[in-house]
Amino acid sequence: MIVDVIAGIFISILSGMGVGGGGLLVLYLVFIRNMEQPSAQGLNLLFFIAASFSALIYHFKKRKIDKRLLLLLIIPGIIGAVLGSLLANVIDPLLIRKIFGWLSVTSGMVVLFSKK
Amino acid sequence: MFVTTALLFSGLLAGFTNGLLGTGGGIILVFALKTLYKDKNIKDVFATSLAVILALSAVSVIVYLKKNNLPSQESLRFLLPAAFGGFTGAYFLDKINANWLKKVFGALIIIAGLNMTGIFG
Repeated sequence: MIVDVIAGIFISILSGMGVGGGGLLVLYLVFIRNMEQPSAQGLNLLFFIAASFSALIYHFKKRKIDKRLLLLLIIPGIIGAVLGSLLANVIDPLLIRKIFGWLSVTSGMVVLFSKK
Repeated sequence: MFVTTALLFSGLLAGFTNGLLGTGGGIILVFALKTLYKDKNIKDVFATSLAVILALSAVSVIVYLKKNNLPSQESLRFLLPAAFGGFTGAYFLDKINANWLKKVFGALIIIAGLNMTGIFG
């Protein structure tokens, strides 16, 4: 349990710094805690919300966020989110895992081969 | 008109990916916004993307919850660390050059990802 807490702190700090994208917790839960892929993803979503909430409050005050732009993205986004989430909980977990794997490989490669 | 359509589509795709995989919507949104708004400050892009993904993640969480794929017992021990770490990490974002760290984790993610694809059996 304490390992989870430490891992959680470590992972969220890394994510806050822009390292590892949003999938680090999923990898931890799946590989180290042997959690099922859909459950790990569900937890990851909750984790992200908790981690981003305070960051967002800070951003809202300092940054310019166009409300109209938000709506244009969120409204179709909600439709997509419902569709994607339903699909994630209906199709074979092994298939989801594979898709997740390929996404991870792709984003890892983008990071490794980016210009900086 | 094109920009509006592209935005609507980007939102849809980002929400779908985020719901399907529990992550990833942000990458799509940042890419889309950077492409459609070339002059926009990158920090504004990140902030906008964050706000959108936050909302979409909340929606997805509800679906996962209804489908019994939100392990509530395990969740609690991660939530407080998440709030702490997210804030702390954001603080360090501008202060530390994390490029080498990104590369290290990039490699790790590739290895883990390859394992998940099952191509090694």
